[in-house]
Amino acid sequence: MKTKNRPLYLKLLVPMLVLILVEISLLAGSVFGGGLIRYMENNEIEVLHERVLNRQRYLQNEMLTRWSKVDSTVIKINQITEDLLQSGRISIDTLDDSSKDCFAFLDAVSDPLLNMLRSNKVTGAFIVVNTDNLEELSEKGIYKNKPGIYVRDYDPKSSYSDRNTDLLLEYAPTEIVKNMNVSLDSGWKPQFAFEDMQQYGAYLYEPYQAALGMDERTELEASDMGYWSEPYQLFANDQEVISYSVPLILEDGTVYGVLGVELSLSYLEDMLPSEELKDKDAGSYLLGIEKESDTEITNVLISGADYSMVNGDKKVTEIYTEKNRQLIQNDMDEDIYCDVEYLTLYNTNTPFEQQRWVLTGIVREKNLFRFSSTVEKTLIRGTLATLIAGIVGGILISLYISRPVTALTKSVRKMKPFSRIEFSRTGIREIDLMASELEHLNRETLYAAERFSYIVNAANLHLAVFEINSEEDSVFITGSFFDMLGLEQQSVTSLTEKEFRDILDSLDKYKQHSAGREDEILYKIPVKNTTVEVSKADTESGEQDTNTYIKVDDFSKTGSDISQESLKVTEDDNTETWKYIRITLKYNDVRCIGLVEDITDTAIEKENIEYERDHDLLTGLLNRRAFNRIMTEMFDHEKTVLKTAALVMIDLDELKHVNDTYGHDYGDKYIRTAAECFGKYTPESTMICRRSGDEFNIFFYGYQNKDEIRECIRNLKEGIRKVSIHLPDHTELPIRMSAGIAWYPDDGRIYQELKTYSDFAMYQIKHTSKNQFGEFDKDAYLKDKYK
Amino acid sequence: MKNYRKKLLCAGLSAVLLLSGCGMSSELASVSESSHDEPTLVTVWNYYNGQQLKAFDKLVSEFNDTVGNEKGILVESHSLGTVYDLEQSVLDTVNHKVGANELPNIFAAYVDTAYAVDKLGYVADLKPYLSQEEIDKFVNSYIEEGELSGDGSIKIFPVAKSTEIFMLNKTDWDKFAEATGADINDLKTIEGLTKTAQDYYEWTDSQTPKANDGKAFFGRDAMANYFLIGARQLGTEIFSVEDGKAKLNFDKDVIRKIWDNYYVPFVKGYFAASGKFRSDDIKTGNIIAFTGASSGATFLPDQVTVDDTERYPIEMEAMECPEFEGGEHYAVQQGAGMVVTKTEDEPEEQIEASVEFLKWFTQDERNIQFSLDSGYMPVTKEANNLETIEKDTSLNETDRTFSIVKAAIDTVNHNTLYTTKAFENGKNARSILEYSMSDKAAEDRKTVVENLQKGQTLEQASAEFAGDECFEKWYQETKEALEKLIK
Repeated sequence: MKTKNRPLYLKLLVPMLVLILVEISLLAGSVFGGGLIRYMENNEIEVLHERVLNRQRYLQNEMLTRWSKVDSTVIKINQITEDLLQSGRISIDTLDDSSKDCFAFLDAVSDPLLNMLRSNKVTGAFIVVNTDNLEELSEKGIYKNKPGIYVRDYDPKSSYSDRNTDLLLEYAPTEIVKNMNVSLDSGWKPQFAFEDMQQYGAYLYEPYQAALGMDERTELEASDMGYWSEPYQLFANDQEVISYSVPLILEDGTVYGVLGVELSLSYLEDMLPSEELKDKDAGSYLLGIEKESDTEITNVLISGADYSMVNGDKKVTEIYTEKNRQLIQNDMDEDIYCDVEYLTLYNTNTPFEQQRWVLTGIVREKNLFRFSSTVEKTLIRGTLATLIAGIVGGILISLYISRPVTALTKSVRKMKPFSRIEFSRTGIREIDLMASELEHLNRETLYAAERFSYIVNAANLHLAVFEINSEEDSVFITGSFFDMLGLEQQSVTSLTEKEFRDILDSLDKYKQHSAGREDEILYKIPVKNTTVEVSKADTESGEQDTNTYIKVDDFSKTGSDISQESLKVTEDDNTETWKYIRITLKYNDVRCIGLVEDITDTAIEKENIEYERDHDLLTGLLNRRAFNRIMTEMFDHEKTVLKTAALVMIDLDELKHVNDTYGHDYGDKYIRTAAECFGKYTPESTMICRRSGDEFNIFFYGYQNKDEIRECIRNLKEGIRKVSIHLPDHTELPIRMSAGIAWYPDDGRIYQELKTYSDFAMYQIKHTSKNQFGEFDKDAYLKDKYK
Repeated sequence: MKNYRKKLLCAGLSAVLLLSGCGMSSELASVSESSHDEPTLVTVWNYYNGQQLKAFDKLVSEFNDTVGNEKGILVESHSLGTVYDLEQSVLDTVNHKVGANELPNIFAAYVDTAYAVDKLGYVADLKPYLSQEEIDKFVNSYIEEGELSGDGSIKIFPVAKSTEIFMLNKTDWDKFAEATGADINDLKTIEGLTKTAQDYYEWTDSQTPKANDGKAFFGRDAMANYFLIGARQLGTEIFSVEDGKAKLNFDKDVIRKIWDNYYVPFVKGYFAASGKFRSDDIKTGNIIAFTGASSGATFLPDQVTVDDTERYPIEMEAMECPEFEGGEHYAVQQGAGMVVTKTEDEPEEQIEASVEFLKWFTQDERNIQFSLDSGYMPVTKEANNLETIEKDTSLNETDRTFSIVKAAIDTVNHNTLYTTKAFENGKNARSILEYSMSDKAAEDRKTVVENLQKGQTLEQASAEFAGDECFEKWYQETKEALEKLIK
């Protein structure tokens, strides 16, 4: 199975990213999918509802149980009226004609009125005296002023003074003013100024007419006809107020006026702290009345700035429902949430029950859900931040972890096989462990290799090894490679293939052709000698040793050894020594291993043996066997070299005589001298051999013609004539010989032929004149042959 | 290098994460704590009504929209209706009464209330917040009035002052003067006033066949002022305060004179008081002249309502108050100043913001505007100049309030302004002066009326009250009561 491999950091990064994505998806999914946000929103709505409900209850309670508690005062007043009527001090017919006519009444009720004002903690209390049917009058457009008292307390909350210094009269007859000891408000008038306003205040009109309209069978009481009014002002620029008023009805059913309490809107506003709905400045209370539809509220009082921000100064608020949540219509196209709670101010089957008062808490969506939207935003931001952090962190971490590993891989690539390896550490235990093990292994290997090298060196084996690795274009060489090849020492352990081949090429001139195997190359390399003058101070004899010593590289000895074992050589300066280097190659796939051996000793020995084999001991000339061999070789394979050649067979004259007369020593001397002559007085390339005893062969070859050879022979003859040996009897014996010449190619082309013919020619001479060089005579031969 | 960069990147990343985490959590926290960037809230309690309240609220809005917006100050003004309600509320609060409100940052107060609150330690000394230059802008005696403990502190900041002036129903006076030749200059002295009142009573009485139904000419709003200023004009200080210690000087002769020029004419019916303010009595036609605070200017009636149907328009004219003959020229200095409160855990910015508002409020232009709108007088030296006022505003002779403003400024400029310093039980002592004589006068007048109805003459009916005995008794009682308070 082929495993794909990926970089380490990807292998780390990708799973990390996947993991992060999965985690975040889970988190986000559980939070958002689980409807957490909607739940929180609903919670906020619920809280709003609770608050509005509480406020509604409180308000309703105040309205019903405190502010509109007028029953006892009504009873008291009715009682006073009855009494006054009875005593005749007032009369129903004239009661509302003028302040004077009801003076006794107003005077008597002023105290109860003030008490009610105090105990109900309202901002105003009033009593209006009226016995007219206001509907009829209105239809006719008749608006009459009515007597009564209207007194205000601008700050009912603060404790009141017993001197009524905190009260102001709005309406009261002049006479009453003098008695009441209450200051007059700036807009004071002696009567309710309906004429000026050209309308009857609803606080009078509604309850009064409702009472009028009740027929006698009704079960309703005066309080059932109590009326909560919409906001009104008593005069221009007056503050806005609402009121609750009940009709004053006598036992006999006569309605003679209304009694009421007033609540200023600013006083009510204090009762509706919009801040409690949501945070400061983030909500509005709306007190209003639903008249016909239940989606439309007529605004009575608004507290808090939020409402006006979205709806300006609208007089009516519309409600609609969306997804089970209540909202109000607004100009801003925002979602404005509201909670509507009803104030139960009227009993059923009462004239004003159609007027449904509501308390609405209004909060803009962005404020209402501020917390949940912040949570949402926070979660989103947190998720994104986590995601980003995860990605960036993942990248950083994977890079951080993989970097040392990558560095390690790169460094490994650069390493050379036979150098000391040191791996950088990655900080990952397993890898570092492996690295240290590899380093250890490498050290062991190096040591092993060194050991081998060391052993080789120590054993003085004159061995070097090289390995050519074509794939990596590197050639590993052991230390003594250069030294063995007579090259300048380089301290590298490896070369490029080209460098190596260049080196070998430079040694081509030393290549030897040998009969060796194909995979062997033989070099005969000159050994560089350096002459060193050394003064040996402490020889045994104590003498200065001023001989010249030659340092022979071959021995791979250090300079310091000179003093101990240096070789004293001949005075001859130009001695050259050689060494024989054999390179054996072994091929193996892409490698080629070469063994470099110094076979100088063996080679020299071989040379010596061959020399002894091929040369005559006495004369140093080739012997017969070698001569034959060479000649055969030449005639078989190198005939072109011959050109014009001549084989001369020589037989020494009187050798026997010398041997017998003077001894073998002088006989040897005779032979030796002759041999020397041959060597001396023939050209370089002449082949000379001693066949036997006194027989010699001389082979001239490579000449243009016979005459050249004859010239050589003449020189030879001349040379011989000059030479003689010194006999013990003090005579000089000249060297005499008989020689026969066979010409190539004239006389024969085959060596055997030439041998036979030169031998015949010599024989001819030997048996005739002696001491002559005779050329072959074919005729004579033939003649002789067939004799 | 690479290592360094990586470390930096890591550090940066973690910092970003930490910060955003913190940022988010603090944002959540702040949301749940529900805070916008809140301006400093300054609550002001005042006792202004009607026109005055409008004028004040207008200036508060202006402040909020301009300087307040810039400096992050929001002023909320509450009117508690009457100065009485206001003082009561403040005292309830500082005494930690159940159901009391929280202490406002600023409240309007007279010296006595300021003194009481200061004793409990809730009043901030504004001296450190004002430069000497700023302080010198104000009429000296106004600043001095705010120096409750006599140590150069400024605990009451003057914003609007008033003095007393004499207001006359000119329309009805002209009728009277025409008929009887009465001289308006007589009204320059108290003695002359008393005489004129008697003449008026007798003249009105003679207009009707019914006997003893003469009408009262004159009434006073503030009895305590009458005592204190009157005594001062006559050369004595009833309450002198030195180093916070009060001394009583209830000089009999001086008091007798005061008595003779109020109590006696009152029981005789020459003076009257019904209803709360004498201006009410003008409105109902009960009297045609009164001495009252110049700040009542905006409440001046422009008609007399006799009964349901009868009313007629009138013109009021303002003059300097009558003073005791041969007496020194002293006039009362009144008008509540603004007291800045301090509580233990209140941040400095609250006081600073309050002072900021007050300084703005009393800048000449605004001060003048407020004064004109409200009937109070400006508090800076520069602004107490009729010409300056005429120049800087649209006020001119045709305005109703003109004569009042003129009379008030003349009073300020022709007299030494006088007010008693605060002292222990000062409020109660003042109260005695305020009510003791006037209550008795009202009470005794009833008796006189009863006597008159029985058929007695005025002389007879008021005999027992007009004599020395009555005075002696009252004098002793009152003196003792005062001495009890001022040890």
